[in-house]
Amino acid sequence: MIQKKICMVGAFATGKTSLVARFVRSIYSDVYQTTVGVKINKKLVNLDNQEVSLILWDLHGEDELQKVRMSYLRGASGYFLVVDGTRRSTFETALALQAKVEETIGAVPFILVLNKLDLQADWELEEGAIAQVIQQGWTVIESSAKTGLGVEEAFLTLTQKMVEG
Amino acid sequence: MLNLPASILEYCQTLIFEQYSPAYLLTDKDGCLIDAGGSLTAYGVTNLQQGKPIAEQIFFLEGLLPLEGANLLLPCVKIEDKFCADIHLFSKAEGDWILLFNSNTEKSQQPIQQFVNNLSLSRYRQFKSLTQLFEYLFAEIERSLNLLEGNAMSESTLGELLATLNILVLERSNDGLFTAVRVEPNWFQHFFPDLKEAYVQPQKRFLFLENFIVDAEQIWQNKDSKLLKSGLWTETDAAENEWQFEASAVNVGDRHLLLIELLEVTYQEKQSLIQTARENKLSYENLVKEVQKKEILLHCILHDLSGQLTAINCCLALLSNENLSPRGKERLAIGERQVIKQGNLIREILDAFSADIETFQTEAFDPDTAPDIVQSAREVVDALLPTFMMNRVRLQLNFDLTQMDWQVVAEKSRLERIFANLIENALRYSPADSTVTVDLKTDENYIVATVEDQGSGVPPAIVGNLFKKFFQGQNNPGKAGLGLYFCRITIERWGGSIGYLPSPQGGAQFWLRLPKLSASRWAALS
Ligand SMILES: Nc1nc2c(ncn2[C@@H]2O[C@H](COP(=O)(O)OP(=O)(O)OP(=O)(O)O)[C@@H](O)[C@H]2O)c(=O)[nH]1
Ligand SMILES: [Mg+2]
Repeated sequence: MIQKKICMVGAFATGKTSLVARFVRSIYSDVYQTTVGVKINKKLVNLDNQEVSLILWDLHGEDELQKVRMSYLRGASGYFLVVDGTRRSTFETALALQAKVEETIGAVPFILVLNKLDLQADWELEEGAIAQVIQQGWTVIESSAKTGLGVEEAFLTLTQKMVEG
Repeated sequence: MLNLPASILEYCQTLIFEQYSPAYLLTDKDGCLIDAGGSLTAYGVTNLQQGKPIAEQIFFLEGLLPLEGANLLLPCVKIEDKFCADIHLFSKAEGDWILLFNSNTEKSQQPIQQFVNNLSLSRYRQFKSLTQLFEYLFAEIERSLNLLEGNAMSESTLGELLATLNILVLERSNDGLFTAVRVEPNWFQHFFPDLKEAYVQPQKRFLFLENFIVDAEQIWQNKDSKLLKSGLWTETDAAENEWQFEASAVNVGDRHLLLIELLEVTYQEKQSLIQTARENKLSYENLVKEVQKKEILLHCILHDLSGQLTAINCCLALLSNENLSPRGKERLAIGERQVIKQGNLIREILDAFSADIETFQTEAFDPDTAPDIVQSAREVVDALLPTFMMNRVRLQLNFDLTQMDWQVVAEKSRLERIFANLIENALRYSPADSTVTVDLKTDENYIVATVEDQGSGVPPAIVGNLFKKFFQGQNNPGKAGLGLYFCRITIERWGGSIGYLPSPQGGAQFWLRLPKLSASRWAALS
């Protein structure tokens, strides 16, 4: 069976843990429990009749003083850059992290996830900036860990990309 | 090695085994297992097979082996919510070693990181609400100013302008005669005393029109969509007064119209003035409402902001009791400075708007959603309990369990805000280890709620001002001074009342009295 390591990367409180919880266990909570270090979970998915075992590394969030530890990314076959649509600064953090991750582990598939879609009325992302990264060839998926919208799609799309290599 | 006595080494060994449950794995350069030992079960690792790839056997090692180059340290790795390990990987001639230690970092760091992140989020949200508030207020104020300016003029001119919109509308029938379409303007009588005559030949009286009607016929026959204007001409009435007119020919659908207008102000001017006047009159009515809404909004946002600030202050106070690293202290100091700044900012907004309009309008009360006062009080009490615990003050809610009829004339969210206001105030004046009691009593027509603390009570000198707008207690210059004012006007709007009584035990006791739904005139409606 194929086994792939995926990392969840992004600013703090963007919903990395919530996305994993939604995907792996179909649960969600509004209570914020920040992650220290990294949490690892496993999920089997079926992709074109092929079983893939995803090893999900949910990393702690990045803030001004605590940088994401790049050693956690070693051996990752793909990663998510998670952005909180209601906080524009998390988009900038994602851009910076992408550069750092690519420098550390090279060019592996990744997806930019714009999370908290259920709060779209409060979104403050600039469409121009997003259009620009799409133009660069990035895959961007909007999601809500709260409603589940886009979550499955995000994980399956990344899995597809990783399996195709 | 360290030159330590055997007993110490032995002690250290025991310590490490007990506290860190070390386990090890050795893999070859293809990432296949050579050897393993130690407390592997502490990490959920069982049934290992030598010679097989390690990542197939221990999923969290996927991708990590074989080690290429540098050693790896992965601190605080939580595996499927069960085990938390520090993982060390390093390379030696015999192969790659993996060491697992039980990690305690998460337990100790999580609460602190949580505080810091919550603080950052709160501050960001506050910043956002403030920005939105300011944008809203500035736009509102600008609009209000414009409208007020406009209205000063329009209120007096609207009636006047309507009276002077002296246009006679005639319709040309197929026989070339005209008939008045609308009520004739005042000037009409001057020139056409015989109003009874159904058909009019205005060109008989207004000779100027004879020419114009010839041109107008073209417009009417061609069903032209454009308006033909005659230009100005002057008529003299029987009393030798001069009047200025202008005529226009136009088609409206199949109808051919001749407009004759007495000119005092030119038509466009009039048109636009009337237009503005009407718009202004409409928006003037909205303005009154919106100024009032603005005030509620201002109050609510500020109330929420100060509430959050109190919560942040609590967090910071708790944080300062933690054993913080120098960097942590640095962050704490930043946080504290920000809180002070934010407090000042809120006060400044209040100062800026304290001169605003005094009253605001009643929003319709909806009997279908009349709240149960016990439930509202309980929700607020539950929400505030953690803060109370943090301050070591007890909070209790008393009411008569045998009573069922607790629905009051009120609106749920505001009622809760009022409770929150009163209970938070009580907390502010409560010494540690004292109790705040919320008590609900019902009589035939009313429900009386009291919030009582065991602090030192309100000084008699200021009791009279408690419920006035922007009144600030002596010891809390940072507070909005709107809380009790908001409570009073809101409760009065529901037909209730609110007041203060010193508690017999010496503390403060605020009471509020609300009509029961069952006893109110709304009961009949719902
Ligand atoms: N409304 C809404 N809230 C969300 C969503 N996803 C996460 N949240 C909330 O956002 C907060 C942070 O979520 P987490 O999943 O803990 O975020 P994180 O990125 O893991 O945070 P760190 O571990 O601190 O980096 C929590 O209060 C979640 O309930 C979402 O899709 N919609
Ligand atoms: Mg997390």
